[in-house]
Amino acid sequence: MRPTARAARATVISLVALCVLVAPVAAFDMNGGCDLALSSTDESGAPLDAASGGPSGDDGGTQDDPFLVDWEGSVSWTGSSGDQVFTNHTWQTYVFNIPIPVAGGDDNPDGTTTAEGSADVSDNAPFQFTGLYYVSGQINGEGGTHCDGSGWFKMTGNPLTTIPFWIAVGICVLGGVLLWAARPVVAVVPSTAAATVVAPPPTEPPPPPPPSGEAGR
Amino acid sequence: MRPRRRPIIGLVGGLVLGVGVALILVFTSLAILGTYTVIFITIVGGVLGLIWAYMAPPRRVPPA
Repeated sequence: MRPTARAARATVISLVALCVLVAPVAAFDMNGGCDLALSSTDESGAPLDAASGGPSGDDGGTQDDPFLVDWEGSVSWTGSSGDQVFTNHTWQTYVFNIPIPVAGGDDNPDGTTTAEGSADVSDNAPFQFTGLYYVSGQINGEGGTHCDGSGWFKMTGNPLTTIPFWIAVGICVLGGVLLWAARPVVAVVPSTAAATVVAPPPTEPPPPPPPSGEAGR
Repeated sequence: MRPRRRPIIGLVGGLVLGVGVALILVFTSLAILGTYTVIFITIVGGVLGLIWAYMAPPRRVPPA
């Protein structure tokens, strides 16, 4: 089998295997004894959705039942680290398992174990976006304290009216152009040029040498 | 004549197209491959771009 055909077959097999093996997250998942409860409101301030995870139970925030967020609304959260006290901690968040710049850390000198807050969605993003996102995160502190969690949230709205969607379309077009340029190239002699190639003129045979023995007679 | 291939351009083009497709799927709430939607589609795009650079019908150009 040719190497390229083998590569194509391996790609197809990998695709099928991943479709079979990758199962959606079953619940809003919190590990390590931490609790997190989220709630969202719509543009008018009316409750939109809620999700929670932790020892007290998981609710919502799954791929099938994502936590709904309105661009014009707000999100509130209440969290607890349970029995653990995170000191000198660092935390990191991921979107689709890709690390994003939303990260940080704190000494937590007061030994706080709870946190709560609220934020307007549109104030915390440079432009409107929509879609379904898998978000995960972890926090690690001194003495091996650790919590991690993950869940799905959905930004409501029409993607066609958002800038990121059209940027993605532009990225697709750019990729298509690059693939078009990536085709193999064969240099061929044009048929007209081949037809007009002039054959070299026949060389005249050299004159026969004069007979040396009969020249003086 | 042996064709001149461009695997790097194919790889980059496939990766770029894969990122674009993955983003469109995310923005339209179609995370068809679960938590690995973005990573996997991007990688598959790169692999397919590489294969394309080797298997696509060659373009015929006059010699330079």
